[in-house]
Amino acid sequence: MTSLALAVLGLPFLAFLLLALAPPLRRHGRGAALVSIAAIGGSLAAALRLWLVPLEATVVRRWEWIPAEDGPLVSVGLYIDPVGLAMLVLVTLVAFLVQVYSWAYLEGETPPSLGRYYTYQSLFAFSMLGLVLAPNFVQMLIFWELVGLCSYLLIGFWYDRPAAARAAVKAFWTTRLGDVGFVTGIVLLWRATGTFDFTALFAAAAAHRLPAGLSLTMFLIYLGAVGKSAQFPLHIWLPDAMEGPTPVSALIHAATMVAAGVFMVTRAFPLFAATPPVLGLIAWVGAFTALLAATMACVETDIKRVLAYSTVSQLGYMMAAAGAAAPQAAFFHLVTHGLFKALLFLAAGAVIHAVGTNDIREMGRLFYALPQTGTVFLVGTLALSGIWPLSGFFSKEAVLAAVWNARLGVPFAMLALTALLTAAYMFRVVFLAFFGDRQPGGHPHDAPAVMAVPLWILAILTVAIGVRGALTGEGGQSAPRWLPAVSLALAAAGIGVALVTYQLRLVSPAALARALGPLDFMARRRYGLDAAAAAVYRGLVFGLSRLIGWVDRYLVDGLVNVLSAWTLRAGDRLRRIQTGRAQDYVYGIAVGFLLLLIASQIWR
Amino acid sequence: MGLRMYVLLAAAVFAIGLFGVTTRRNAVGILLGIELMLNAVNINFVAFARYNASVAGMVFALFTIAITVAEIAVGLAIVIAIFRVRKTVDADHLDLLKG
Amino acid sequence: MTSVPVLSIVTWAPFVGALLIMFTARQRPLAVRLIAATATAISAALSVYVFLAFDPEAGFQFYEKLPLVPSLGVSYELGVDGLNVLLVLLTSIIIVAGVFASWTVTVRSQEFYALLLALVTGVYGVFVSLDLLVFFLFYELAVLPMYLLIGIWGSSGEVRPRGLFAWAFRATGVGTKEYAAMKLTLYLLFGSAFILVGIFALYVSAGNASFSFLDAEMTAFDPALQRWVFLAFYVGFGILAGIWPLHTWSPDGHASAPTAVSMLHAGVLMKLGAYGIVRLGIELLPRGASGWASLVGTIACLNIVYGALAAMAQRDLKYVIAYSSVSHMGIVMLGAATLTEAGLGGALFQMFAHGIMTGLFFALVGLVYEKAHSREIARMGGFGRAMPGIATAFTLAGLSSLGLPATAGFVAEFMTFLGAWRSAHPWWLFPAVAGTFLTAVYILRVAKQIFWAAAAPDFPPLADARGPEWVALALLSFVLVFFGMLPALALGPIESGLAPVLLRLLP
Repeated sequence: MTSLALAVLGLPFLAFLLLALAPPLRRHGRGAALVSIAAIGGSLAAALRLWLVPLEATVVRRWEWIPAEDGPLVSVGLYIDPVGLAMLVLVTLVAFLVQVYSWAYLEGETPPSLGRYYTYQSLFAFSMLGLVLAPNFVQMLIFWELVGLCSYLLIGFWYDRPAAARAAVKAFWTTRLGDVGFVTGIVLLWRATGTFDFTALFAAAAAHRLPAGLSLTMFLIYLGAVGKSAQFPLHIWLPDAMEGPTPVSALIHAATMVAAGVFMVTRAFPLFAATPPVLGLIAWVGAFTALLAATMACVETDIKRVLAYSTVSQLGYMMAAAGAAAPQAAFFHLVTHGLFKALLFLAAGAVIHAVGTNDIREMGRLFYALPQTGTVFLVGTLALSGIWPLSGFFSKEAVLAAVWNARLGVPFAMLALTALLTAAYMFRVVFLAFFGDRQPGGHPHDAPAVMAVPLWILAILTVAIGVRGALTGEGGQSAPRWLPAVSLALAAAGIGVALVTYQLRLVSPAALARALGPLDFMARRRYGLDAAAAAVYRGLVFGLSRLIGWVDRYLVDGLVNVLSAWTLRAGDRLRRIQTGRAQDYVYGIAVGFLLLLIASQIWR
Repeated sequence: MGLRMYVLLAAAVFAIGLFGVTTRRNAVGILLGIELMLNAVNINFVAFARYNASVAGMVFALFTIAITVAEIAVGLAIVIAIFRVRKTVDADHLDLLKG
Repeated sequence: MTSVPVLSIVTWAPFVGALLIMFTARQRPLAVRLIAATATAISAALSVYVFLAFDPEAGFQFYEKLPLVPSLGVSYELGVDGLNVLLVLLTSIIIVAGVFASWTVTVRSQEFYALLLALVTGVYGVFVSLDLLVFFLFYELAVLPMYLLIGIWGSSGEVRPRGLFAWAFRATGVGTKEYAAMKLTLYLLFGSAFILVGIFALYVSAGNASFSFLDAEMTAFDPALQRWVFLAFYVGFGILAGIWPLHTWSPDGHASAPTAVSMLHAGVLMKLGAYGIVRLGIELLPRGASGWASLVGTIACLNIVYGALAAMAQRDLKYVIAYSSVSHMGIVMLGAATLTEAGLGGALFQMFAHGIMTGLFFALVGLVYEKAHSREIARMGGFGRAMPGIATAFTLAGLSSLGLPATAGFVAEFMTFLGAWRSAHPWWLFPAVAGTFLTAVYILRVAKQIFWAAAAPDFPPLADARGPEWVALALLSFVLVFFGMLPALALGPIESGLAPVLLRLLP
């Protein structure tokens, strides 16, 4: 058990070490790719093996990492439970498929940069798996930061593009801002409970022995998830992160890393459950994020950015479910979303690969040129829109049911509206890019098999989970009877809007935009949130730093210089006393002696 | 005539000598002033020797006279050497050690 | 007691190397470098041996004692415990890297290496000596060669005289290397005056006619005395550790100094200040330390945030790194001020981590400067394509400085945070955490500007690091990651060294 789990974790790490420390192998490119793919493949096999064996109880292993006088201060180890195992399989599977897909997608790269890509990929796989297996908050933080690092490196993979460089740094800063809260929260939690350990914390939570007043602590910990899982108002980095290669977007910015925040909240759910105000906040923010991002997705023209906003929106869904005290629903949606969103991104990558542009306005009728890609993209779109019997339908229904059952009326309404918008903007992409009447330039053709097979695997899984759900009725946790019908109706309405506007052209998109004037105006400008963040950065942080820099150089150091200038000047003046004439010195001695004499007479 | 008068005399001679040292411009004059100051000390030595009935003061006075002679010899030699080089013995112009 | 005086060899090998260089290697640059490399390698090998053979259970080890002035109780007394064993290791790593990083010094390399090695003897001496007077002598030996090294081999920057005090800037020649050298020396000597007074105060009040640390450790000093002597040590050593507002020598000095000197100074000498505060201040004067802890910690918080913001405002690459040292030394001082196990452990580990990290930084900045002949950040751009190795190492150092896990910086900062929240002033945590965020902002901004984005137009074809330079980069990077992944290796000795300190801190 432990050794298998260690194999899951260790194989990508070994691959990373090998690639990092053996430059010839890394610079070979294809060789590096083979090493990395083999490692993640082995990891996937081990994860599947673990997952298929029924788990009797949660397995925890710990090794001391930071010693202290009375027992280890921090330990590292493994925490294996069903949720973690499902996540392990998801991560290794998507990572494996993405790495295989990248083999063909990045064929144009030079061997050294291909090697660099697979080095980062291996590091990412290791970090993400370490996060999933973390038995305590510190290990989670460690790998949390490491996945952030990989995200930074991979967004900036094409580092000589200014936009990519900017996006990478922006992503790191924004998530790091959330992490400030995360770290603080962890420290506070440690002070309050004396441990970082999940087992101990959950035991305390189960026995209602958690100290009171944890709300601030849990809120700070939640801030980490806000940054990582792109919740409002720290969602601004995710759309920009699309500057990275598309497979990276699929893996890191759709399926795995961005879901880490949700994973953390579900993992630490017993603790969040002890602080209802924070839970409520999570639900509200999640629902609001979902709606906000969905509106922005409706006006995007870059296919990857549409998907990015949709990811933000779906992460809001998951968070809302977690906030509604239904971590199972959140996790279920995480898994299904991970699969179909990776599918959508990879399919979008195949499209971009074929037509050489990201702009959906320059695409059209691609379904006929790329039948395979079109089919799988459609599967992903249907799943994302929540159409029966695909996986997305069940997980979305679980989320909505959970929010409804938690009596969160307004969030439920927001999520329902989001469901409609989701179907609308996704089918907008489908109709514009794959159908419509515009002929794309060149002769696009379907992706090679290395890229197509991962797509088909993901599509089959998306369907399979859905069919399994349909057969077993799993996922619906005491949902109201009317809910499936309503959610299907919403999706159908969304599809209808898209159909009417973009396919049948009965309503012109411009007219629709005019009708929703202010909203359209705001959404196109991302509600001014990016601009606001930039203004805060430029004005507050940078302005303050300019001020401090000036103060330090010209005030603090200025005073020192004044002191030394005075010393120099005083020396210059005082040297005139030394006239060089012996008589003056005699005079000085005599007067001085006289003064001493007088003084000695006065103060006897 | 008690000790007081001798001490007052010595003080007066010392003051005259000091005045000469600080105000004379001629180097020879300064040397003469120094001579007066040393002689003021000699007066004190002799007076106190008599007052305390001890010969140590007298011996000191003798020593001082001998040393004064040597000092004047060296001093005048320096003055002559300076005159040879600088063509002046005006103390105001001898300020090579100015800061 | 060991029969071979290991610590003496560690300490004096560089000095012997300096003498050899001066007397035998005239006009033979390669011989100079080989002697320097050998001398420092001997020290380094033995420090690694000392570190590996260190027994956490045994208190002071590798102990040597040789009476110098028995009537005054001055003796040549060396030994390591958990507090300084890591710093000896740090010194040897930095100096080996420094020797390799300054392989290309061409002007008067003989004198350069001789002074550098003499300086290193001083640094080793301070860390290992257990006699307070000898400690002080070594301290002076470590400070004085710095003046020549910066004044002769340094580089001048440009600071525009502005503001209210512009006349003073013109009068003192701010920005020139001579100014920086003089400023640094004066500041440090000013501090050492306080230290000397403190040492004499302890000597007199202990009353056992001994300068030995071990004897002083046995003495319980009067609380009133402890208060003012601690303050003297805090100011004296604090200047060296870059406490606000006495830090301004550091940016000017580090920016003007040649690469190896910056590495050694920011990497090791600033730690020496913090070590002095922990060793003499906190360990000998626990009541004084707890009395002043709130001041020390508050100033440390100021250091962290202020240093980071000031670093962000700089246009000169070397100044950015220099200010980052000011910020990070704040974390060291904060950890020390918490007076808790986690905090002090974090402080000592941060000394090590920051030493390696900043050494790496200065080595890299030196390399970039040597190749691009510019330190102005705004002019540079897109260097990553031409110098991938340097870019990678810079990113690594940057990640460690912003406290990324798997680098030594994370463990140190995290432990400091834990200590801060446990101390009497929990709010210290917030500036400390904010500081790590600000560090991320300025470090990544600089890395992006220099190494990423499109290539800057006005530079000749650039090359990556070569030969001996790689030794420096690889060594420092490796240590940074190695101790980041296995912090227990370093924290074991630290814990053992802290045990007596914590015991004495108990009321």
